[in-house]
Amino acid sequence: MVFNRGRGRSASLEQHANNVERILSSIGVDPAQARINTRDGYGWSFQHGSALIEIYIAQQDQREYLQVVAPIIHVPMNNLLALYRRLLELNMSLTNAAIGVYQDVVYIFNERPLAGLDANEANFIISQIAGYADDLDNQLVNEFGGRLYTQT
Amino acid sequence: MAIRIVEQGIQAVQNGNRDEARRLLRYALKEDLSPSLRATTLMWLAETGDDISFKVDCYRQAADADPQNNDVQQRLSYWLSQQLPSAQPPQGTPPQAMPPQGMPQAAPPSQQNVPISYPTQGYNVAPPSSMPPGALPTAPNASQQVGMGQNQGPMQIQGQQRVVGVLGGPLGDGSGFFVTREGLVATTRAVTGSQPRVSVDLLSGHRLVGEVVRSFPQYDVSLVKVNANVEHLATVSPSPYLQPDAPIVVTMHGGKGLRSKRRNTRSAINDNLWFPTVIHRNELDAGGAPVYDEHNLLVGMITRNTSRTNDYAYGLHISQVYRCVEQYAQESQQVQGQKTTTCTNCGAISRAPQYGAFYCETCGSTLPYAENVTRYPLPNAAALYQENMHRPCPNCQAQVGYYDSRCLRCGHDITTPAQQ
Ligand SMILES: [Zn+2]
Ligand SMILES: [Zn+2]
Repeated sequence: MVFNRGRGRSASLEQHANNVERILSSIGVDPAQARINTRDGYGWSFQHGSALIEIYIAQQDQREYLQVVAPIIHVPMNNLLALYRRLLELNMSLTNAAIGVYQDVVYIFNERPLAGLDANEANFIISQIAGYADDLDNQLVNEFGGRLYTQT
Repeated sequence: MAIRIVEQGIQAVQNGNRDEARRLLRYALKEDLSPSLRATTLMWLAETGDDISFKVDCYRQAADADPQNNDVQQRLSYWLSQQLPSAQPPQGTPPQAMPPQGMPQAAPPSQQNVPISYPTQGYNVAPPSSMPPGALPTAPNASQQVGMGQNQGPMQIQGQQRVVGVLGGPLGDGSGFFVTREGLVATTRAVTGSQPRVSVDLLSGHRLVGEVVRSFPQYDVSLVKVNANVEHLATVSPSPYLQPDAPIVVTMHGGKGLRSKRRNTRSAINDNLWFPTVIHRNELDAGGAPVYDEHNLLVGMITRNTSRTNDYAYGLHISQVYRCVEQYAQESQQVQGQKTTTCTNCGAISRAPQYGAFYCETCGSTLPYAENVTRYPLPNAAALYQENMHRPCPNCQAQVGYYDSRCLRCGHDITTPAQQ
């Protein structure tokens, strides 16, 4: 369900978007600057340390979710077997986060229901995902090649 | 530049040209090298000789140059332990150092392969470790084991050896049996786990070092090589499969024998691989014991696998055990003269050492010798991973190959036209 990207705006989604923006402000992110165009949902993107963080609101089965996503590297042209295996091994070792590949990019992400989310918890999730992204991006590029997501 | 000379030296080691490697590396060591480069150079120098005191000397100097280098420390302590005099000759000789097959001190490879080129950062890469991965040998064990010492020929095993003990695996003691006269033992993968070596106990009480040379996790088979010549192999039943209700005897290490029978089940699923028994799992050791029929013919190997609905153990037909043995023999022939190692994760024979590469080409896991070294992309290893022999993906241009007509890199389905 990741990258569902909140298709279909609804009243409750809008309310949640306001909540997320409030939370972002409270942790020092300017929501207006961070806002990104998604086709028909809500999204924000900002730098946290050296990691790029994207936030989306997704809806599934009448429930809204907060997605915190960090793109880390473009999948290299070689070494795929070893890289994919490593990603799955890393996936087992991360806490409260998962690794995935979407459109040739490796992501670290977390999803949780929006209901009951407060600024503390959101901040914790964002820091944790950013921390993993920081730890892993250079390590993976040095070992397997490819290129950092933040590098053009 | 000193780095260039080191790189040439490393390449010479990889190509099996040890004299040239030694000359180059020693030449480089006369230059003003950084501590870590000096240590790395000395580690590669250690790979140019078989003599233990030579290796120890190299690692000592490397440890002096770069005291923080754990890899150096590990290798130094390993080779120091190998220098200890053997406690009680003649029956007690230390276990053979047993470099993974074809590490740099093995025979020079045939020169048909792509030479390894090292990128500029390659100098800080240590050579694959030639000591056994995992635990260092402990002295008491070492003194009991009948080694595969380099100066010692294979042990001659006379008389019937219906079963051997396979010890030191993750599930505890198991059993096995000889399948070739050259000392190849069959047991279960569950018994050896992902360990590179185990101990093999003979009926006489002798203990041999067994190297796990090939595993087939899908059949729960591990093949373990000991340095022995076996005079009598058990006679294999000419019939490939066991009939329902056929009486069987499972002979476990330590003298325990179980009389039982092939369970009569209606389902014939996987009948050519497995046969059901009426043996409960808790009656067994860790597994791998030979199964004989009423005529004392070898019909299979008992395992600790059960069905989901009951606790009865399954045996593997002897025909499947021997198919594994044949496959291993064929593969060994194909890689003859090349540097290889057995992947402890998937059990396949890996040619990664031949390429100086770090990962198993079958399962992608990091090979034990590459675990504590700096790893980096090796363009020449694309051939090993068969990533350069496919037509480029119309969507992402990668040549890494396809599964079910989808590009392994981008997932593009090559049966649909690329989106522009
Ligand atoms: Zn493997
Ligand atoms: Zn592609």
